[in-house]
Amino acid sequence: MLAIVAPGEHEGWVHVPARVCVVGVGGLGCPASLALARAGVGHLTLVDPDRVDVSNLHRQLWHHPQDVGRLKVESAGQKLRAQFPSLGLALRPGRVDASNVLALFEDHDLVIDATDGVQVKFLLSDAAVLARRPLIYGGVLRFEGLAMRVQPDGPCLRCLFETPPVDVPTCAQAGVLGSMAALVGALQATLALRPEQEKGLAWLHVLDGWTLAARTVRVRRRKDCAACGEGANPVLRDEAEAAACPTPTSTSPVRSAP
Amino acid sequence: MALREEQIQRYGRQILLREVGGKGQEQLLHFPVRVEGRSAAVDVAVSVLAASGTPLVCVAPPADGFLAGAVLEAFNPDARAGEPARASLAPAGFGGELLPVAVLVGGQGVAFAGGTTCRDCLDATARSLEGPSNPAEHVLLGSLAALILQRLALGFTPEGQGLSAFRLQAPALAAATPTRCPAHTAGN
Amino acid sequence: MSDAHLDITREICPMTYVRVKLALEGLPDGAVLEVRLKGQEPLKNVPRSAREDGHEVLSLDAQADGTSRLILRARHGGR
Repeated sequence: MLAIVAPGEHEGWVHVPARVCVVGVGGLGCPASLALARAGVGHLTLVDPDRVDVSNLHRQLWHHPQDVGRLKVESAGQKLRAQFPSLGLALRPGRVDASNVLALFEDHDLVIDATDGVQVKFLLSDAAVLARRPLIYGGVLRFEGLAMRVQPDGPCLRCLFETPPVDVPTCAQAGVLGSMAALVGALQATLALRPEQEKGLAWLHVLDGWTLAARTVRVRRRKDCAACGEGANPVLRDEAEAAACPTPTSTSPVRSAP
Repeated sequence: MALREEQIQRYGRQILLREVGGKGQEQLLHFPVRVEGRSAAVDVAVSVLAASGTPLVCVAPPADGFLAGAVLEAFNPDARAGEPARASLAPAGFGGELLPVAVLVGGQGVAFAGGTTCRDCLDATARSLEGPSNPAEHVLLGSLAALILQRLALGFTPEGQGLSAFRLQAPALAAATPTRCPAHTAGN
Repeated sequence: MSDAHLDITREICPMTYVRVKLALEGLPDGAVLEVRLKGQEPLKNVPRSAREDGHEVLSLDAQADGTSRLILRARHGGR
């Protein structure tokens, strides 16, 4: 029934990265940063341009009513610092874009995609391919959760989705249950600790919170992939999100057949 | 039982879900959970549930410092239970009294008991889910426990009756076969 | 004629559809809700979300004052 990745009995394979960058400190980034700090990651960089909104509180564990209006990175950083005094923390209030994304990858062992826009997810995936650093993709849309580890030489997000979809609710119109976001964010953290063992392969984890059914889908690198395919040379570009809203939501791309 | 304005603002993103709506959010707000014992995973479940409007009766103090300094009411005023609890949440080894509907979180998985489950079967299943896990996995298991309880409050849970279990299992967290107590073992 | 009126011209996403959804939930099956809205986001998202929730979109008209008038019929045909 439920099938989501966790290191479990392969304890020996668990590899705790020293420096991790969490892009987005919302529904996914809060549980992911908690789980990574608990796992003993030495340094976390939190990146998010937004301030805490009251509609975030039901699912973003670091943000409490008194934090409304504060920068999310500061609100989360304060709680992480209090609970994990030896954790190294860097707080970057700002947006990830084509001009700064490569430096983020180069400065960390791994990046967590806890963002809420479709275009930024593809930007992060392209940058992961260029920088040859692992990225943990994650998304929640209604009762569906997705997560995948994008590894150097492995399939990337464009192998999975080809082109960014245009007709998904990319704004806060999409509902999300607090525990679904927590589950996917925590799953991303466990994937961060577990490098894929096989080159050119990855597992897409699909959770259905409505039925509690889940599955893992084997994803292969596509030879003609525009980002990671043979001879491909991705260009990092800033594309506007389809429907910009004051408080964007976590959203996942619509799947095309991998 | 209409939602107050600050509740509409806070839970708007849950209300937007077709399967939740205003009615479902009210169900979440009126499904108190009694926290019988604590562990790191239970603490995660408590914080997830408190944030999204599940009232909690905490019999035991936090285990992990995750909620240290954050009184539940400060986290969310709706997290204070004013009604009798409808379900129990506890670590796997908890031996005390449980409500008929109970979620037990072990180091290796989560066990859920519906209204008619034999307590000995639940305990046997929960014991089989004890064991060490990576601290990151506690967040995963706690979130799963919270999801099971939220689904239960919303009334769309196929595991509403009987006993079910989920186990960490590389590369998956899979449905596990519940362990039966001697009285309910096949052949007895 | 509509059975209820709702003005969401001052709301921003995600509260635009939250207000509409709660209003529709409070109406009996078949009742008509008139919504006054403003801006690109609700214009695109509110009718779509209402349809996804199983309600009927009867009409959407631009008004002289720059707002729009959306007429919805509440449908509670199960989940």
